[in-house]
Amino acid sequence: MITAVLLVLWLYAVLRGRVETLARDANAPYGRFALAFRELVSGTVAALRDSVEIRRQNAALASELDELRARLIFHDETERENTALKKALKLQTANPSFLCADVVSRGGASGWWNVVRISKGARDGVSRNCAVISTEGLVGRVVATSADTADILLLTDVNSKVSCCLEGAASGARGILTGGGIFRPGDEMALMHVIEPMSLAYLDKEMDIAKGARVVTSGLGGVYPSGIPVGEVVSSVHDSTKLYQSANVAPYVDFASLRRVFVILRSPAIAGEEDAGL
Amino acid sequence: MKARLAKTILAMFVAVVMAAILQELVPAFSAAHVKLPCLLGVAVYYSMCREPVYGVTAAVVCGVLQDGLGNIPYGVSLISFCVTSLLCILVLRRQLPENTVSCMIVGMAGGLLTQVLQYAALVWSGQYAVLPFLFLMLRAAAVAVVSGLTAGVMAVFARHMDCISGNAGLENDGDSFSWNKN
Repeated sequence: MITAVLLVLWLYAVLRGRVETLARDANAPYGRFALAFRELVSGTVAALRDSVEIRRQNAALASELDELRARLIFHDETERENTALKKALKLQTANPSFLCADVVSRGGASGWWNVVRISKGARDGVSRNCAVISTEGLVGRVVATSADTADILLLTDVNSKVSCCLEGAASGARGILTGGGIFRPGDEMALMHVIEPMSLAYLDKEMDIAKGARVVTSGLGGVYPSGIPVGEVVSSVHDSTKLYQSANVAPYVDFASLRRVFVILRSPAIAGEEDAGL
Repeated sequence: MKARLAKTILAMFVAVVMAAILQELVPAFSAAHVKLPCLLGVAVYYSMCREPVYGVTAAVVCGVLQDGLGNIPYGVSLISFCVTSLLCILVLRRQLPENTVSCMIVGMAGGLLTQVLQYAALVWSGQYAVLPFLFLMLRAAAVAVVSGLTAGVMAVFARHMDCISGNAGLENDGDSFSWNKN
Protein backbone atom coordinates (compact mmCIF):
# COMPACT_ATOMS: atom_id res chain seq x y z
CA MET A 1 0.00 0.00 0.00
CA ILE A 2 2.79 2.33 1.04
CA THR A 3 4.69 1.29 -2.03
CA ALA A 4 1.71 2.11 -4.24
CA VAL A 5 1.29 5.55 -2.66
CA LEU A 6 4.99 6.24 -3.08
CA LEU A 7 4.79 5.08 -6.70
CA VAL A 8 1.92 7.43 -7.41
CA LEU A 9 3.74 10.33 -5.77
CA TRP A 10 6.88 9.55 -7.72
CA LEU A 11 4.96 9.32 -10.96
CA TYR A 12 3.23 12.59 -10.14
CA ALA A 13 6.57 14.25 -9.40
CA VAL A 14 8.07 12.96 -12.60
CA LEU A 15 5.10 13.58 -14.91
CA ARG A 16 3.78 16.79 -13.36
CA GLY A 17 5.72 19.01 -15.70
CA ARG A 18 4.75 16.98 -18.74
CA VAL A 19 1.08 16.88 -17.74
CA GLU A 20 1.08 20.60 -17.22
CA THR A 21 2.78 21.11 -20.56
CA LEU A 22 0.38 18.78 -22.30
CA ALA A 23 -2.62 20.45 -20.71
CA ARG A 24 -1.32 23.91 -21.56
CA ASP A 25 -0.49 22.93 -25.14
CA ALA A 26 -3.83 21.26 -25.56
CA ASN A 27 -5.55 24.30 -24.17
CA ALA A 28 -3.47 26.77 -26.17
CA PRO A 29 -5.51 26.67 -29.40
CA TYR A 30 -8.70 27.33 -27.44
CA GLY A 31 -6.98 30.13 -25.58
CA ARG A 32 -5.72 31.63 -28.81
CA PHE A 33 -9.18 31.27 -30.29
CA ALA A 34 -10.76 32.91 -27.24
CA LEU A 35 -8.22 35.72 -27.41
CA ALA A 36 -8.76 36.23 -31.11
CA PHE A 37 -12.51 36.20 -30.62
CA ARG A 38 -12.28 38.71 -27.82
CA GLU A 39 -10.04 40.94 -29.92
CA LEU A 40 -12.41 40.58 -32.83
CA VAL A 41 -15.41 41.55 -30.75
CA SER A 42 -13.67 44.40 -28.96
CA GLY A 43 -12.15 45.56 -32.27
CA THR A 44 -15.54 45.50 -33.95
CA VAL A 45 -17.15 47.38 -31.10
CA ALA A 46 -14.34 49.94 -31.13
CA ALA A 47 -14.57 50.26 -34.91
CA LEU A 48 -18.32 50.78 -34.72
CA ARG A 49 -17.89 53.35 -31.99
CA ASP A 50 -15.17 55.09 -34.00
CA SER A 51 -17.30 54.89 -37.13
CA VAL A 52 -20.22 56.61 -35.43
CA GLU A 53 -17.91 59.26 -34.04
CA ILE A 54 -16.18 59.75 -37.40
CA ARG A 55 -19.50 60.04 -39.19
CA ARG A 56 -20.71 62.56 -36.63
CA GLN A 57 -17.51 64.57 -37.00
CA ASN A 58 -17.73 64.25 -40.78
CA ALA A 59 -21.29 65.58 -40.82
CA ALA A 60 -20.33 68.47 -38.55
CA LEU A 61 -17.32 69.31 -40.71
CA ALA A 62 -19.35 69.08 -43.92
CA SER A 63 -21.92 71.45 -42.46
CA GLU A 64 -19.19 73.83 -41.34
CA LEU A 65 -17.53 73.63 -44.76
CA ASP A 66 -20.80 74.44 -46.51
CA GLU A 67 -21.33 77.44 -44.28
CA LEU A 68 -17.79 78.65 -44.84
CA ARG A 69 -18.16 78.27 -48.60
CA ALA A 70 -21.40 80.22 -48.45
CA ARG A 71 -19.67 82.96 -46.48
CA LEU A 72 -16.80 82.98 -48.94
CA ILE A 73 -19.21 83.97 -51.69
CA PHE A 74 -19.69 87.26 -49.93
CA HIS A 75 -16.09 87.74 -48.93
CA ASP A 76 -14.80 89.67 -51.95
CA GLU A 77 -17.84 91.84 -52.33
CA THR A 78 -18.02 92.58 -48.62
CA GLU A 79 -14.34 93.45 -48.51
CA ARG A 80 -14.66 95.81 -51.46
CA GLU A 81 -17.75 97.41 -50.03
CA ASN A 82 -16.14 97.64 -46.64
CA THR A 83 -13.12 99.41 -47.99
CA ALA A 84 -15.23 101.87 -49.95
CA LEU A 85 -17.45 102.64 -47.00
CA LYS A 86 -14.55 102.99 -44.65
CA LYS A 87 -12.95 105.42 -47.01
CA ALA A 88 -16.08 107.44 -47.71
CA LEU A 89 -18.09 107.32 -44.55
CA LYS A 90 -15.86 105.61 -42.02
CA LEU A 91 -18.66 103.14 -41.37
CA GLN A 92 -18.44 99.42 -41.08
CA THR A 93 -20.91 97.09 -42.76
CA ALA A 94 -22.30 94.22 -40.78
CA ASN A 95 -21.86 90.75 -42.15
CA PRO A 96 -25.13 89.23 -43.21
CA SER A 97 -26.24 86.46 -40.91
CA PHE A 98 -26.87 83.08 -42.42
CA LEU A 99 -29.42 80.51 -41.41
CA CYS A 100 -28.85 76.96 -42.56
CA ALA A 101 -32.01 75.07 -43.56
CA ASP A 102 -32.84 71.73 -45.17
CA VAL A 103 -35.13 71.35 -48.15
CA VAL A 104 -38.17 69.34 -47.06
CA SER A 105 -40.29 69.32 -50.20
CA ARG A 106 -40.29 70.72 -53.72
CA GLY A 107 -42.85 71.93 -56.20
CA GLY A 108 -45.57 72.98 -53.74
CA ALA A 109 -48.96 71.34 -53.86
CA SER A 110 -50.42 73.14 -56.87
CA GLY A 111 -47.67 72.76 -59.47
CA TRP A 112 -47.92 76.37 -60.56
CA TRP A 113 -44.87 77.52 -58.69
CA ASN A 114 -41.28 76.42 -58.96
CA VAL A 115 -40.72 76.44 -55.23
CA VAL A 116 -39.02 74.44 -52.52
CA ARG A 117 -40.07 74.32 -48.89
CA ILE A 118 -37.39 74.58 -46.20
CA SER A 119 -37.31 73.53 -42.57
CA LYS A 120 -36.94 77.01 -41.05
CA GLY A 121 -39.64 79.65 -40.76
CA ALA A 122 -40.74 82.84 -39.08
CA ARG A 123 -39.86 81.44 -35.67
CA ASP A 124 -36.21 81.32 -36.79
CA GLY A 125 -36.26 84.86 -38.17
CA VAL A 126 -37.05 84.06 -41.81
CA SER A 127 -39.23 86.70 -43.46
CA ARG A 128 -40.59 87.37 -46.95
CA ASN A 129 -38.03 88.43 -49.58
CA CYS A 130 -35.03 87.07 -47.68
CA ALA A 131 -32.44 86.01 -50.26
CA VAL A 132 -31.53 82.32 -50.25
CA ILE A 133 -28.22 80.90 -51.42
CA SER A 134 -26.47 77.55 -51.53
CA THR A 135 -22.77 76.82 -51.62
CA GLU A 136 -22.88 77.10 -55.43
CA GLY A 137 -24.68 80.44 -55.69
CA LEU A 138 -28.06 82.15 -55.60
CA VAL A 139 -31.12 79.94 -55.14
CA GLY A 140 -34.03 82.39 -54.91
CA ARG A 141 -36.03 84.32 -52.36
CA VAL A 142 -38.57 83.61 -49.65
CA VAL A 143 -42.15 84.13 -50.83
CA ALA A 144 -44.15 82.70 -47.95
CA THR A 145 -43.48 81.73 -44.37
CA SER A 146 -45.16 79.84 -41.60
CA ALA A 147 -43.87 79.38 -38.06
CA ASP A 148 -41.61 76.46 -38.96
CA THR A 149 -41.37 76.45 -42.76
CA ALA A 150 -40.74 78.85 -45.61
CA ASP A 151 -41.33 78.62 -49.37
CA ILE A 152 -38.49 79.63 -51.66
CA LEU A 153 -39.30 80.82 -55.17
CA LEU A 154 -36.48 79.43 -57.28
CA LEU A 155 -34.61 81.46 -59.87
CA THR A 156 -35.94 79.14 -62.53
CA ASP A 157 -39.57 80.11 -61.90
CA VAL A 158 -41.08 82.16 -64.69
CA ASN A 159 -42.18 84.75 -62.10
CA SER A 160 -38.68 85.22 -60.68
CA LYS A 161 -36.93 88.44 -61.67
CA VAL A 162 -33.48 89.41 -60.39
CA SER A 163 -31.36 92.42 -61.24
CA CYS A 164 -28.02 91.00 -62.36
CA CYS A 165 -24.85 92.11 -64.09
CA LEU A 166 -21.94 90.50 -65.84
CA GLU A 167 -19.00 90.36 -63.48
CA GLY A 168 -16.21 92.76 -64.33
CA ALA A 169 -18.02 94.28 -67.31
CA ALA A 170 -19.05 97.88 -67.90
CA SER A 171 -22.24 99.46 -66.56
CA GLY A 172 -24.17 98.41 -69.66
CA ALA A 173 -23.79 94.80 -68.66
CA ARG A 174 -26.72 95.02 -66.31
CA GLY A 175 -30.06 93.40 -66.93
CA ILE A 176 -33.04 91.54 -65.52
CA LEU A 177 -32.67 87.81 -65.08
CA THR A 178 -35.94 85.97 -65.64
CA GLY A 179 -36.50 82.31 -64.89
CA GLY A 180 -37.08 80.00 -67.79
CA GLY A 181 -39.87 78.52 -65.73
CA ILE A 182 -41.50 75.60 -67.38
CA PHE A 183 -41.26 76.69 -70.97
CA ARG A 184 -38.79 78.30 -73.31
CA PRO A 185 -39.95 81.67 -74.59
CA GLY A 186 -40.00 81.56 -78.37
CA ASP A 187 -39.19 77.87 -78.45
CA GLU A 188 -42.30 76.13 -77.22
CA MET A 189 -41.42 72.82 -78.81
CA ALA A 190 -38.64 72.38 -76.25
CA LEU A 191 -41.16 71.84 -73.49
CA MET A 192 -39.69 68.53 -72.49
CA HIS A 193 -36.35 70.07 -71.51
CA VAL A 194 -35.45 69.29 -67.95
CA ILE A 195 -32.82 72.00 -67.67
CA GLU A 196 -34.63 75.25 -67.37
CA PRO A 197 -32.59 78.11 -68.86
CA MET A 198 -32.75 81.63 -67.52
CA SER A 199 -32.71 84.75 -69.62
CA LEU A 200 -30.75 87.92 -68.81
CA ALA A 201 -32.61 90.61 -70.74
CA TYR A 202 -32.15 94.33 -71.40
CA LEU A 203 -28.39 94.16 -71.92
CA ASP A 204 -26.74 96.90 -73.98
CA LYS A 205 -27.14 95.96 -77.65
CA GLU A 206 -23.61 97.12 -78.49
CA MET A 207 -21.95 95.08 -75.79
CA ASP A 208 -19.82 92.07 -76.57
CA ILE A 209 -21.00 89.22 -74.34
CA ALA A 210 -18.47 86.45 -73.93
CA LYS A 211 -19.65 82.88 -73.59
CA GLY A 212 -18.95 81.67 -70.06
CA ALA A 213 -19.07 85.15 -68.51
CA ARG A 214 -20.07 85.06 -64.85
CA VAL A 215 -23.44 86.54 -63.95
CA VAL A 216 -23.78 87.96 -60.43
CA THR A 217 -26.48 89.91 -58.62
CA SER A 218 -26.24 93.67 -58.95
CA GLY A 219 -27.74 94.56 -55.59
CA LEU A 220 -30.39 96.81 -57.13
CA GLY A 221 -33.88 96.41 -55.78
CA GLY A 222 -32.83 95.70 -52.24
CA VAL A 223 -33.83 92.04 -52.13
CA TYR A 224 -30.60 90.36 -53.16
CA PRO A 225 -27.21 91.55 -51.88
CA SER A 226 -24.74 92.35 -54.66
CA GLY A 227 -22.07 89.99 -55.89
CA ILE A 228 -23.84 86.66 -55.40
CA PRO A 229 -22.90 84.26 -58.23
CA VAL A 230 -25.93 83.24 -60.28
CA GLY A 231 -24.64 81.43 -63.35
CA GLU A 232 -22.75 81.82 -66.56
CA VAL A 233 -23.66 82.93 -70.05
CA VAL A 234 -24.37 80.12 -72.48
CA SER A 235 -25.37 82.20 -75.51
CA SER A 236 -26.65 85.64 -76.39
CA VAL A 237 -29.17 86.91 -78.94
CA HIS A 238 -30.44 90.30 -80.05
CA ASP A 239 -34.02 91.08 -79.17
CA SER A 240 -36.48 91.18 -82.09
CA THR A 241 -36.90 94.93 -81.52
CA LYS A 242 -33.10 95.37 -81.83
CA LEU A 243 -33.23 97.66 -78.83
CA TYR A 244 -31.28 95.37 -76.55
CA GLN A 245 -29.84 91.89 -76.38
CA SER A 246 -30.43 89.07 -73.99
CA ALA A 247 -28.31 86.16 -72.82
CA ASN A 248 -29.26 82.62 -71.88
CA VAL A 249 -27.79 81.85 -68.48
CA ALA A 250 -27.07 78.41 -67.05
CA PRO A 251 -27.44 78.45 -63.26
CA TYR A 252 -24.59 77.38 -61.00
CA VAL A 253 -27.00 75.74 -58.60
CA ASP A 254 -28.22 72.26 -59.40
CA PHE A 255 -31.85 72.81 -58.40
CA ALA A 256 -32.78 69.17 -58.86
CA SER A 257 -30.44 68.02 -56.11
CA LEU A 258 -30.84 70.92 -53.73
CA ARG A 259 -30.62 69.59 -50.16
CA ARG A 260 -29.35 72.40 -47.96
CA VAL A 261 -29.65 76.15 -48.38
CA PHE A 262 -28.72 79.29 -46.45
CA VAL A 263 -31.20 82.06 -45.79
CA ILE A 264 -29.68 85.53 -45.55
CA LEU A 265 -31.58 86.99 -42.65
CA ARG A 266 -32.66 90.59 -42.73
CA SER A 267 -32.94 92.99 -39.86
CA PRO A 268 -36.37 92.80 -38.20
CA ALA A 269 -36.98 96.49 -38.98
CA ILE A 270 -36.61 96.01 -42.75
CA ALA A 271 -38.66 92.82 -42.73
CA GLY A 272 -41.40 94.53 -40.73
CA GLU A 273 -41.53 97.47 -43.14
CA GLU A 274 -41.82 95.16 -46.14
CA ASP A 275 -44.51 93.04 -44.54
CA ALA A 276 -46.44 96.23 -43.79
CA GLY A 277 -46.14 97.17 -47.46
CA LEU A 278 -44.00 100.26 -46.87
CA MET B 1 -75.44 55.26 -36.91
CA LYS B 2 -72.99 57.12 -34.69
CA ALA B 3 -70.45 54.36 -35.12
CA ARG B 4 -70.78 54.58 -38.89
CA LEU B 5 -70.37 58.35 -38.79
CA ALA B 6 -67.27 58.03 -36.63
CA LYS B 7 -65.79 55.38 -38.91
CA THR B 8 -66.50 57.46 -42.00
CA ILE B 9 -64.88 60.52 -40.45
CA LEU B 10 -61.87 58.45 -39.45
CA ALA B 11 -61.53 56.92 -42.92
CA MET B 12 -61.95 60.32 -44.56
CA PHE B 13 -59.38 61.86 -42.22
CA VAL B 14 -56.80 59.18 -43.09
CA ALA B 15 -57.52 59.51 -46.82
CA VAL B 16 -57.26 63.31 -46.75
CA VAL B 17 -54.01 63.31 -44.75
CA MET B 18 -52.45 60.69 -47.02
CA ALA B 19 -53.56 62.62 -50.10
CA ALA B 20 -52.14 65.90 -48.78
CA ILE B 21 -48.80 64.28 -47.96
CA LEU B 22 -48.62 62.57 -51.35
CA GLN B 23 -49.54 65.72 -53.23
CA GLU B 24 -46.97 67.73 -51.32
CA LEU B 25 -44.08 65.30 -51.50
CA VAL B 26 -44.34 63.66 -54.92
CA PRO B 27 -42.41 65.91 -57.33
CA ALA B 28 -44.14 67.51 -60.29
CA PHE B 29 -43.73 66.06 -63.76
CA SER B 30 -40.93 67.94 -65.48
CA ALA B 31 -42.81 68.23 -68.79
CA ALA B 32 -45.63 70.52 -67.74
CA HIS B 33 -44.92 70.79 -64.02
CA VAL B 34 -48.13 68.99 -63.11
CA LYS B 35 -48.59 67.71 -59.57
CA LEU B 36 -50.68 64.69 -58.64
CA PRO B 37 -54.10 66.10 -57.61
CA CYS B 38 -54.62 63.56 -54.82
CA LEU B 39 -56.86 65.86 -52.76
CA LEU B 40 -59.18 66.28 -55.72
CA GLY B 41 -59.27 62.50 -56.06
CA VAL B 42 -60.49 62.10 -52.48
CA ALA B 43 -63.15 64.79 -52.94
CA VAL B 44 -64.33 63.12 -56.15
CA TYR B 45 -64.56 59.71 -54.50
CA TYR B 46 -66.69 60.94 -51.60
CA SER B 47 -68.89 62.96 -53.97
CA MET B 48 -69.43 60.07 -56.38
CA CYS B 49 -69.61 57.12 -54.03
CA ARG B 50 -70.84 58.32 -50.65
CA GLU B 51 -73.72 60.32 -49.24
CA PRO B 52 -73.94 63.96 -50.40
CA VAL B 53 -73.02 65.35 -46.98
CA TYR B 54 -69.74 63.45 -46.99
CA GLY B 55 -69.04 64.56 -50.56
CA VAL B 56 -69.48 68.23 -49.73
CA THR B 57 -67.48 67.87 -46.51
CA ALA B 58 -64.59 66.22 -48.33
CA ALA B 59 -64.70 68.88 -51.06
CA VAL B 60 -64.53 71.71 -48.51
CA VAL B 61 -61.71 70.12 -46.48
CA CYS B 62 -59.66 69.18 -49.55
CA GLY B 63 -60.23 72.58 -51.19
CA VAL B 64 -59.07 74.46 -48.11
CA LEU B 65 -56.01 72.21 -47.81
CA GLN B 66 -55.14 72.59 -51.49
CA ASP B 67 -55.36 76.39 -51.31
CA GLY B 68 -53.26 76.47 -48.17
CA LEU B 69 -50.54 74.13 -49.39
CA GLY B 70 -50.24 75.43 -52.93
CA ASN B 71 -49.83 79.22 -52.47
CA ILE B 72 -53.00 79.79 -54.46
CA PRO B 73 -55.33 82.79 -53.87
CA TYR B 74 -57.57 81.58 -51.09
CA GLY B 75 -60.90 80.07 -52.08
CA VAL B 76 -60.10 79.12 -55.68
CA SER B 77 -59.60 75.40 -55.12
CA LEU B 78 -62.38 75.46 -52.55
CA ILE B 79 -64.83 76.81 -55.12
CA SER B 80 -63.57 74.45 -57.80
CA PHE B 81 -63.82 71.37 -55.57
CA CYS B 82 -67.27 72.37 -54.33
CA VAL B 83 -68.52 72.94 -57.90
CA THR B 84 -67.14 69.55 -58.91
CA SER B 85 -68.71 67.94 -55.87
CA LEU B 86 -72.13 69.52 -56.47
CA LEU B 87 -71.93 68.56 -60.13
CA CYS B 88 -71.34 64.96 -59.07
CA ILE B 89 -74.12 64.95 -56.48
CA LEU B 90 -76.77 66.72 -58.56
CA VAL B 91 -76.04 65.46 -62.08
CA LEU B 92 -73.30 62.92 -62.66
CA ARG B 93 -74.33 60.36 -60.05
CA ARG B 94 -77.54 59.86 -61.99
CA GLN B 95 -75.70 59.47 -65.28
CA LEU B 96 -72.63 57.46 -64.35
CA PRO B 97 -72.31 54.17 -62.43
CA GLU B 98 -70.75 54.19 -59.01
CA ASN B 99 -67.27 52.87 -59.83
CA THR B 100 -63.62 53.75 -60.33
CA VAL B 101 -63.93 54.65 -64.00
CA SER B 102 -66.61 57.22 -63.17
CA CYS B 103 -64.30 58.72 -60.56
CA MET B 104 -61.56 58.93 -63.22
CA ILE B 105 -63.85 60.74 -65.66
CA VAL B 106 -65.01 63.20 -63.01
CA GLY B 107 -61.40 63.59 -61.85
CA MET B 108 -60.36 64.66 -65.36
CA ALA B 109 -63.12 67.27 -65.51
CA GLY B 110 -62.46 68.46 -61.97
CA GLY B 111 -58.72 68.71 -62.60
CA LEU B 112 -59.24 70.83 -65.70
CA LEU B 113 -61.74 73.09 -63.93
CA THR B 114 -59.35 73.55 -60.99
CA GLN B 115 -56.41 74.39 -63.23
CA VAL B 116 -58.39 76.90 -65.28
CA LEU B 117 -59.71 78.65 -62.18
CA GLN B 118 -56.30 78.66 -60.49
CA TYR B 119 -54.54 80.06 -63.54
CA ALA B 120 -57.23 82.71 -64.04
CA ALA B 121 -57.02 83.74 -60.38
CA LEU B 122 -53.23 83.86 -60.40
CA VAL B 123 -53.04 85.96 -63.56
CA TRP B 124 -55.94 88.16 -62.46
CA SER B 125 -54.23 88.89 -59.12
CA GLY B 126 -50.99 89.74 -60.93
CA GLN B 127 -49.02 87.01 -59.19
CA TYR B 128 -48.30 84.99 -62.29
CA ALA B 129 -46.88 85.64 -65.73
CA VAL B 130 -49.08 85.00 -68.77
CA LEU B 131 -48.01 81.72 -70.34
CA PRO B 132 -47.98 80.88 -74.06
CA PHE B 133 -51.18 79.33 -75.39
CA LEU B 134 -49.42 76.20 -76.65
CA PHE B 135 -47.95 75.56 -73.23
CA LEU B 136 -51.33 76.03 -71.58
CA MET B 137 -52.85 73.49 -73.95
CA LEU B 138 -50.09 71.00 -73.22
CA ARG B 139 -50.52 71.56 -69.51
CA ALA B 140 -54.27 71.11 -69.80
CA ALA B 141 -53.79 67.80 -71.58
CA ALA B 142 -51.25 66.64 -68.99
CA VAL B 143 -53.53 67.75 -66.15
CA ALA B 144 -56.47 65.84 -67.63
CA VAL B 145 -54.50 62.61 -67.92
CA VAL B 146 -52.80 62.90 -64.53
CA SER B 147 -56.03 63.97 -62.78
CA GLY B 148 -57.94 61.03 -64.24
CA LEU B 149 -55.34 58.50 -63.21
CA THR B 150 -54.86 60.02 -59.77
CA ALA B 151 -58.61 60.19 -59.14
CA GLY B 152 -58.83 56.48 -60.00
CA VAL B 153 -56.00 55.53 -57.65
CA MET B 154 -57.35 57.70 -54.84
CA ALA B 155 -60.84 56.26 -55.33
CA VAL B 156 -59.46 52.75 -54.93
CA PHE B 157 -57.50 53.82 -51.87
CA ALA B 158 -60.42 55.65 -50.23
CA ARG B 159 -62.74 52.74 -50.97
CA HIS B 160 -60.23 50.41 -49.38
CA MET B 161 -60.25 52.64 -46.32
CA ASP B 162 -64.05 52.40 -46.26
CA CYS B 163 -63.91 48.63 -46.63
CA ILE B 164 -61.40 48.02 -43.85
CA SER B 165 -63.25 50.39 -41.53
CA GLY B 166 -66.44 48.44 -42.15
CA ASN B 167 -68.35 51.15 -43.99
CA ALA B 168 -68.61 49.14 -47.19
CA GLY B 169 -68.39 45.58 -48.33
CA LEU B 170 -67.28 44.50 -51.76
CA GLU B 171 -69.85 42.68 -53.86
CA ASN B 172 -69.01 40.02 -56.38
CA ASP B 173 -70.39 41.76 -59.41
CA GLY B 174 -67.31 43.76 -60.31
CA ASP B 175 -66.69 47.28 -59.29
CA SER B 176 -69.81 48.27 -57.35
CA PHE B 177 -70.04 47.67 -53.65
CA SER B 178 -72.73 47.58 -51.03
CA TRP B 179 -72.90 50.05 -48.18
CA ASN B 180 -73.24 48.91 -44.66
CA LYS B 181 -76.32 50.74 -43.51
CA ASN B 182 -76.10 49.63 -39.87
